[in-house]
Amino acid sequence: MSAGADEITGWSLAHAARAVSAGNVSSREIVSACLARIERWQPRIHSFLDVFGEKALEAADRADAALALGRSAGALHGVPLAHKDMFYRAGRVSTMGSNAAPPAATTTSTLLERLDRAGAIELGALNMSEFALGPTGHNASKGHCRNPWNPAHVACGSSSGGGSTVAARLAFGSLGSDTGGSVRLPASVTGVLGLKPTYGLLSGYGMMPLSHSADTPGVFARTTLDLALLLNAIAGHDSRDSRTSPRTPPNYPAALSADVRGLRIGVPQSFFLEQVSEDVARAVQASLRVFTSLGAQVVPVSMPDCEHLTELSRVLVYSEATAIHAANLRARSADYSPQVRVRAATGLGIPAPVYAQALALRPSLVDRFVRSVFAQCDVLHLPTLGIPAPTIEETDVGGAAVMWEKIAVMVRCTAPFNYLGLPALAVPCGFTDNGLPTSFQLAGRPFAEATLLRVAHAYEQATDWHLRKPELPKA
Amino acid sequence: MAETIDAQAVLILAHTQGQTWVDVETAKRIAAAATTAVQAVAAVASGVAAAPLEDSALEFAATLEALAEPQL
Repeated sequence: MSAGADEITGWSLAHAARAVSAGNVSSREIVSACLARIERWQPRIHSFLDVFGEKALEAADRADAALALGRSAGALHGVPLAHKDMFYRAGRVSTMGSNAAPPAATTTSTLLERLDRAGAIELGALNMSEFALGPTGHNASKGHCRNPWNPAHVACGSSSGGGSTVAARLAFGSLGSDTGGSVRLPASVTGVLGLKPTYGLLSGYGMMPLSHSADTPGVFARTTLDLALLLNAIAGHDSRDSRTSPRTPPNYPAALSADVRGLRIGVPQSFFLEQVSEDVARAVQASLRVFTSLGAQVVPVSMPDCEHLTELSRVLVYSEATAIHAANLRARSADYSPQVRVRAATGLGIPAPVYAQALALRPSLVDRFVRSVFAQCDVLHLPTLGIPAPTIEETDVGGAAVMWEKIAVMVRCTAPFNYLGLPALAVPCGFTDNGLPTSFQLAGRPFAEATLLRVAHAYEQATDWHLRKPELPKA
Repeated sequence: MAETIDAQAVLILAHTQGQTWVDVETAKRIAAAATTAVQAVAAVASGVAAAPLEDSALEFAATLEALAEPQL
């Protein structure tokens, strides 16, 4: 092995893909390095629910053999990834983080198929909040995923394993799902990038449904180029998912080359900067100074009323989640953890006409938001999580009434974009006073992922937050 | 709006639908969360035009397409 295992796992996805393609390292070496690192980190953070060690090594050998014959599968040839345990693969049980999950899938998710075609290797199934119901990452059924920067703290959720795994350099990227912040929140507290794309950019076929009106597959990566490469591999229309847009996605890596001079970075003047802790605000504010130094214009943005967007999102999510879980809850309620059972049943109290109104109001509200906000700026800049990453103990509230307040605080800056269907990207920008990572969030017009990546890339070139990594305590 | 959804009504609704595991405490929590959600919809609905119900999903997708950022 020409490079050491720790050096290999520290590479970016783009670097790893280039190294495999050039024959500087084999896929087996990369997969082995990741598996060895997983073995060391897993007892500390429990980010994997299953590790596909032998299968991943066999896939790596096939990738190496194909390359030896001059056959490269694509941009991700031989690169190991790991995904939230809710993307179906035919013949495999996706636990969905629960003891009440259905049996083995009979179909494979479109996104996994597309990653397969691009040559990626699947390392394992990642921890998550049970049935993706919860932003803290608690999982009483399978064990909590922990934050690699400090295991006493939450990894956030619901895609808890995605942030922790990518941050700890156990895999080079990850698929998650984001229905109220479930990719962006874990990304924020673990110091990696987390993208919730526009509703309809990525196929949800073969992904565990929670709320078909708000669910969005999402992506974790350590650099903007990595994120762009992953998005290139998976974006686009899917005839098996009627929600997907017919538009042809742009070349995302190509979009990174443009700078941000003259671009208007909008700072909301209400709602999103309220209830933000001093240390988060300080880091977010400092990132604006970086953009100014890069020639962007930082402009104040007068916001439309955003007060009720999170609740509107909840109406959709809880109504649909309760309908989806109804039969399972009747048959197997005891297999759900208590707090998740309550969340899954919340739609029982929401009248059908209210749900229908929440859907019917959405076109007007997104129209109003986009026309108002993006007339004043090109991208909106705001916190992702307005508070420092809490400890697991602080947020271990079970099914108590205070649970709703804790959740509301955590998703305040993220859930509105699920209701509106707009793209949003969490970008690491420093650390809070408790030593945990924090981030700012960029939101844009529909299908503005290339612009969000371009802006984040410019920031990444001027800072080194994306290079910081958690370390295991010395033995 | 000071009224809240009645937990007893939630309990009956739940049991009628076969969710017999829902107890009084659970019904209270569901009622509290649902009340906040219902109030939010009422607050917004008075000032915003709603799409025709049968078109809301299609219209949402069409709105996103119409508002999309121009391709680079």
